[in-house]
Amino acid sequence: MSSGFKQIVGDGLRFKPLPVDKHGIHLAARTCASDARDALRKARSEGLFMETVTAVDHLEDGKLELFYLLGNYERPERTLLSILLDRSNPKIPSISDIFPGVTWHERETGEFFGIDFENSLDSRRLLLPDDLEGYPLRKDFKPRKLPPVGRSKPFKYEQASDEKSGFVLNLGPQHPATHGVLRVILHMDGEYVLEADPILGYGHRMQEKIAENMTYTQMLPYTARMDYLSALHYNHAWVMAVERLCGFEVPERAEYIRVITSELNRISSHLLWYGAFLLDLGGFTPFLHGFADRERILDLLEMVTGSRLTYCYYRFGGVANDVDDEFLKKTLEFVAHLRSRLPSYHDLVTGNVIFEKRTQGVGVIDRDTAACYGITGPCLRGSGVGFDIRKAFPYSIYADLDFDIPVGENGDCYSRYLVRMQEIEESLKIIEQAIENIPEGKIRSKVPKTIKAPEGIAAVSVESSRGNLCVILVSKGDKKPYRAKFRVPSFSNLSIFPKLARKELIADTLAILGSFDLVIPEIDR
Amino acid sequence: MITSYVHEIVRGTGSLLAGMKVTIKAMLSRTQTVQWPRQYLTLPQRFRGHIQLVPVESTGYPKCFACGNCARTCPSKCITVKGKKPEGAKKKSPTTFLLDFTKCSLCGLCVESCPVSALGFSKDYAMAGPSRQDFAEMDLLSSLASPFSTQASKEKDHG
Amino acid sequence: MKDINLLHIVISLLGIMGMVSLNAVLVVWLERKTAGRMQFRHGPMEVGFHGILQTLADGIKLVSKQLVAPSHADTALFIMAPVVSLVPIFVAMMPIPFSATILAHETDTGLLLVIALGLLNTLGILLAGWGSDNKYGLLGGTRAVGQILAYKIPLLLTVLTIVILAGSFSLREIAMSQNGLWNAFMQPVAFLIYIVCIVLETNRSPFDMAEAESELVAGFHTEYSGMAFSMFFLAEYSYMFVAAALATVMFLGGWHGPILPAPIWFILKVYFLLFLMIWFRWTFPRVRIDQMLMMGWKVLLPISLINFLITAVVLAL
Repeated sequence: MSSGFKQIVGDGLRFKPLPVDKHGIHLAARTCASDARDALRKARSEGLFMETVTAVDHLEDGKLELFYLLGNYERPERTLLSILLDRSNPKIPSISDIFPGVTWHERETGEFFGIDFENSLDSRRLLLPDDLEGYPLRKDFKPRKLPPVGRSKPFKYEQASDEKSGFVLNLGPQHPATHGVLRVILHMDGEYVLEADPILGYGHRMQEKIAENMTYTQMLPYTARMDYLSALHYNHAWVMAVERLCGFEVPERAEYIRVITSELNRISSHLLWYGAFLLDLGGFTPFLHGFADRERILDLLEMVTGSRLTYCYYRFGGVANDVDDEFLKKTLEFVAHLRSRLPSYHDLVTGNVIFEKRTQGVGVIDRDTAACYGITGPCLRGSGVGFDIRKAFPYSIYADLDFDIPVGENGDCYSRYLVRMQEIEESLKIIEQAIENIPEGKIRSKVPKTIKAPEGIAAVSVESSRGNLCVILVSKGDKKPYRAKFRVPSFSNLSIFPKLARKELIADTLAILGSFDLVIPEIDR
Repeated sequence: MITSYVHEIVRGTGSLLAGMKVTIKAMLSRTQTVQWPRQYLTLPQRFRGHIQLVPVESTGYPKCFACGNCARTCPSKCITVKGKKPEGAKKKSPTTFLLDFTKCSLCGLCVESCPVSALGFSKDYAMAGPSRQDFAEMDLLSSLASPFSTQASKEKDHG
Repeated sequence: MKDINLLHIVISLLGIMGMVSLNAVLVVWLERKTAGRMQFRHGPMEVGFHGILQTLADGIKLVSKQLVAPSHADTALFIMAPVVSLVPIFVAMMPIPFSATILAHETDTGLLLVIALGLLNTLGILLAGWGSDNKYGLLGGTRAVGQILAYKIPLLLTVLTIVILAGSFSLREIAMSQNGLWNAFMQPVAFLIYIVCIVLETNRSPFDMAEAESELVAGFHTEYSGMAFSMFFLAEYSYMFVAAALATVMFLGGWHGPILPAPIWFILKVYFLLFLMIWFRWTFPRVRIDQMLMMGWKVLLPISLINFLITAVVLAL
């Protein structure tokens, strides 16, 4: 293992290889705070992308363990760099000059754990209110009395400062194009955006702390609330993380059902995005055309799961309910129906000259920048990188299925649009194959009633509608997770926005924002 | 250059006309919405409304024996169950079964955790009330016969 | 003689006011119904037969609402803006001939009058954007002003083409001159350019950059509520009517048509054009402001100029 790590981060560094198990981390090593920068600089030059930065509080040892989780677009390989920091005075040099996109991760980890990232480009709080005392994800955090309702995050007006001329435009938290409670402070010069500064945290619920206070089962419904548009993918990531950690088996039929339903969920998410994106560009009708077809998916999923949006359907070792032949028949009918509808989507939007002019060449992301910011999902594939968790780390039955990963050419909004539209077709293909081959049998294996995950760490990724959704689960053998980190795709995807929005027209910045397919509660968690 | 200029205009106009064809076709096709509340859609079997207690068919009493599994499983802690044994019965029966519907996330974990399938889902989705309090303490026992009512009335008579 | 003239003007103004209100009720209903059907919905269904009175109900609600002005708004401009937008409509409607005899007031330069008054709409938008002390409003207002020249010049060039064909600025005479062949068939290019220009002039999608609700919340009328908002609304639909009426007179032969009485033909043609504009709105995404300017200067202007020159040369020969 150590040779593999050497290969990535190079020789001459003091590091100790950590035991790597089968739970989704391929290479792991521990180094000290002073060597972390060199190791990560090497990793950057190797083209690795920063999946996430997070920490775990080991209260009894008096240590904070900082994790850098690095992914690779080309090879299925996940590298974990662990650094033990002193709990009383945790300090580490910032790497935001090496990975510009890591700033947000550092800000988040900093405010949650009280880690001081020295020389950071930006050390403001990201998700938490400015007047919160203490570090909520430390194990000894004692919350003060709950703040009164409606006083979560004070709204501060920004004034245009001297060095940034022009005026300040507050885009959000209530704005038609921010799809939720995202606020972007725009420094404007007429119609041009000089600088964009997203302010997050209006929908912050501290889900990761909630997870520490819930049993594994109880956390299940919460996962669906993070990204309500691909709830099943969140279900999937959570149950898979626990299954891997505990070594639960999943019957084959359940895996097929999971794939069918989560691909349906992906299509429904993409259809909603199709409409919402066009709404951002000022087209109204595609929104309801997308909705009309999405409604059929919701009907199908309601048939099996009983709910329409925030499903709570997957269970440890299987799924909650079996599907019947009627569902499978109706799903096949839907596949045929959507195939017949797609040409009209393309007539209405794809070929439209106004749409082309609005999206082509706007918000171009190249591969290298994507790696800096940890972009994943259709946003990345629009830039021509065929990185998809379903192919890179095939989970469930994806390895047995025949499907392609559509990639774009230019990395602009138009490419991202095309990738998602093609993904709908690929998902239809997957559903068809899965229905054709679905075996009979059990849908749930026997798992203990009270789940106590053995000690260990699992990092399990799922390709959600928006990209790489990774659950990092640390267990100390308790009924409750010791630490659960949700690496959400929209968070990293949005972190590139300030860079893309610079010197663009306001209309273009909103096209860019729309093309990311953001779900704000997922970012805020 | 001039040909590409003309070509661009013609192609652009053509693409606009293709879009207009889609919308006019949609306009002449059937609508897909339902005029609620005048029309209803049938709910699927597994529709998950708020939870409700399932009665024993013969007596109409709740199946529930107040074990409290559901209350412990609930992630939002929105179920309150208390129970005692009615006179002469072998098992407990609930005396209070309150659902705080303002907190409930309709996940259905309680229904799954019930050892005797005493919980089910209601199909009532069109609930409205003038105050939050109306749903903070929904009494799920109110719609069922109670094994205590005869007992209570007896006590009253004696008192 | 003078008294009769005054009476005539008062009566026709009252008629126009009724006409404007009725038109707004109808067009808004048509718009909402069309939008609904194009999106597989029903549109309004509750108030009146298939929701035909929905606009009236909305109007009553809007009128009964409080008019709120932002604390730092320039109150005089803020209140003036919707009035400036709406009032010129009443004058602009006067020279429009519904038939050879039905028109409020005939002038020899009716065409110029209507086009000049159309510009006041933009003034209203600018005042609203400036007066409401809102950055979104101001951006919307400046966008409206920024695009004027880009469409007004091609618009005037196409109008001139028609004027030299008809040999008159009087709307009645222009309509009369098309008894046989409509100008839309003689001047298809001018007709198309004119259609694009009126969509631009009325700030309708795909050229609703001044309103652009996904970018600028509601653009120039972000801060407006109640009656003032409904006046902007009324103005928008009335300008649509005037622009469509002008197009009918110049290109679709005015009131000429077989069997049906002349005013019916006129109204039918106007509503066909209105439907076309509604159809555009519910089909296309929004054009970006610089692309619109590019289109105005690089496509509309040269083509309309060439069209004008060719027409002039052909007529001279």
